[in-house]
Amino acid sequence: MRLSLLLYFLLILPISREVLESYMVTHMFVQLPLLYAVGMLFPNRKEYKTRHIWSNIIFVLGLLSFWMVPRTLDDALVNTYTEILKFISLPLIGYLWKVSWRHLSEMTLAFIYTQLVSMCGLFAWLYLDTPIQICNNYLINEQKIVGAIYLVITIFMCGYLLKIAFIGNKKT
Amino acid sequence: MQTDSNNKLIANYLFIGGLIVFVMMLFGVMMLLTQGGVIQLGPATFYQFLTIHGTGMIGACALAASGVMWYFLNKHVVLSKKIFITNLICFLIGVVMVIVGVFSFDYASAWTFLYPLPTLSAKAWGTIGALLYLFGMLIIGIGFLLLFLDIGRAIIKKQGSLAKGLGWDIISGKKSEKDAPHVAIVAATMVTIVDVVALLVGATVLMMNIIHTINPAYTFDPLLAKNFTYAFGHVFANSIIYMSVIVVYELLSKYTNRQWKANKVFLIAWTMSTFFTLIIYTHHLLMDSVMPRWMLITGQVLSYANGLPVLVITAYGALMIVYKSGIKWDIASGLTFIAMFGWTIGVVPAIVDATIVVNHVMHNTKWVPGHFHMYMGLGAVVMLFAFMYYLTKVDKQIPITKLDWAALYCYLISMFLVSMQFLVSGAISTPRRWATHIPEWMGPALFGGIAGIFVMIATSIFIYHFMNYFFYKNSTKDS
Repeated sequence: MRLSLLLYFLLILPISREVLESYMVTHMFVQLPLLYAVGMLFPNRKEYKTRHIWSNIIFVLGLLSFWMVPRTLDDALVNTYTEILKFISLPLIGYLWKVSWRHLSEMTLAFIYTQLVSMCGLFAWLYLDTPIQICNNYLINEQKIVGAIYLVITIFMCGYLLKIAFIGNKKT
Repeated sequence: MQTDSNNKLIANYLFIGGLIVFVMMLFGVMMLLTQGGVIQLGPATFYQFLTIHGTGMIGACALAASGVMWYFLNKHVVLSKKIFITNLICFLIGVVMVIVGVFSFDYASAWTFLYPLPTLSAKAWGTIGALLYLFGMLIIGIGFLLLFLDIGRAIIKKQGSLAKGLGWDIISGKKSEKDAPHVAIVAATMVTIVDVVALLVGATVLMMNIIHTINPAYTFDPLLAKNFTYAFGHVFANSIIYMSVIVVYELLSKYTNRQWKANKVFLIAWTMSTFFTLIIYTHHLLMDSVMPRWMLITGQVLSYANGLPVLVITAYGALMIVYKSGIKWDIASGLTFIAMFGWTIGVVPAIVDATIVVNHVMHNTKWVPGHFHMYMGLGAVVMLFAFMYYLTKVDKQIPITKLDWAALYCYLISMFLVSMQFLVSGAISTPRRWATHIPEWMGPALFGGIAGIFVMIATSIFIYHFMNYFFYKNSTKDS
């Protein structure tokens, strides 16, 4: 709880917001995951019933889809309400995912994982290849770096998938 | 009771698949008759038919083949029926979207949906048509992805890993051949690997096309898009034969009372085909001079090698298992055996076309449809029909009439003729995917259209026979 609140406090500080949001890479790959981590670190005091799990997951996936749209990143910089939404919704995504994912079947997890592989691949392609500036607040060269990072993430995710499929995993 | 319910579901897969194949044949015949100068469709309608024919045939055959694979695989591993039903629902939703996109919104990019054609159609169709088609394909893909993930999960649970599903521990000598996985598991493992890869790549390129359709300002590398499109489409279409071939292994084993066991050679062949199938899609890009040379050479060499390992061991195995077995031939076993012949001869035009110097001349002619009509029409689809007769026999004991036998001969001869007219058209340099033909090209097309009508008649008899599965009361069970 303390660690979670401390991290949240640090992230909400104007200085850290300014530093992390100045660059597309740190905004996307540092601030957003750390906000998600805030939720993950939040202690789970309530035992969720299975019937609540799906509403949690649909909510999580819906919010994730929202934050996957590049425009939302732009909006968060210029629109205070979107910025507030970011600081509320991402920790919420982290918390709901934490309390829900263990109840999901291995099939559902595999499906979500493979969809993420495909989406990361798409983002790598989008950010690396498209000649136009996707976000008004970030330069094209920054989006190329983001694309390269997405590509690396995709490769690692594919590698993990291959490991699970061909070498096996105790959990699977 | 559980088996009955499963078999009914599988029968639904096959019936829906068979029915769509029949309707797609109708579109195929109409296209050939248009090219033959008998009827006038108009170019826009022709290309809509071309789009629905290609998409529908592959989708329907994949659906039916996955049903067949599920039937045999479920005897060895525990599969999820919920996922199996979900796939069917996704398929039906996707099919409706594709049909509405093509016929109500004039979408006609052919199944290849090659970037940037879905968006830049010269106003032949609009954004909604393209989006309906692309999202429809995406939903169909999601259903199949779920199905193959479940199959992969079940195989990993039984065998330990997909590597063991392909029998790598047998190949490496860690285990003896008697511990080899069942042939159905080996085939299903191969199909799972190639199709999960194909579907993930397909989802990426479909989403990319969707983004481009919604906002054309986002442009992408067309060559990479083409690579992704064929890495999806070719691999997925190719996998149909590998799903269907389980029919050959299982049915011939049952009819001859001889086991079809996986040995080292068998396992090596399936492993080779797994890798080759993923790589050889580049033979669709041999005319793209900007492709890296090494990829094109790899495409040529591995295309030669792709089908051969599994084809040779399966064809040889089929001959050996039947030899002096005292097999009783009926329509199911007959079709199964003949399908091997269709598969074997259907590969030959593909191997010819995969040669770069030949490809530069032949790839945009009807030679290529000649290959895949022979390969699918006389190979994969025949295996599916064989399974339909098998299921009606073992589950319902539905008697086979002389009409069924007549349909068998009619189908084989007329499908062979349809394939041959495509090859002859290719040999006289008739371009493929052209709505209108000059008089010199019309003869084979007209001939193919007439032969196609006979294929349809035979197929309707097959489907009518199979339809009895849902209505026929099994007298043996009742008594």
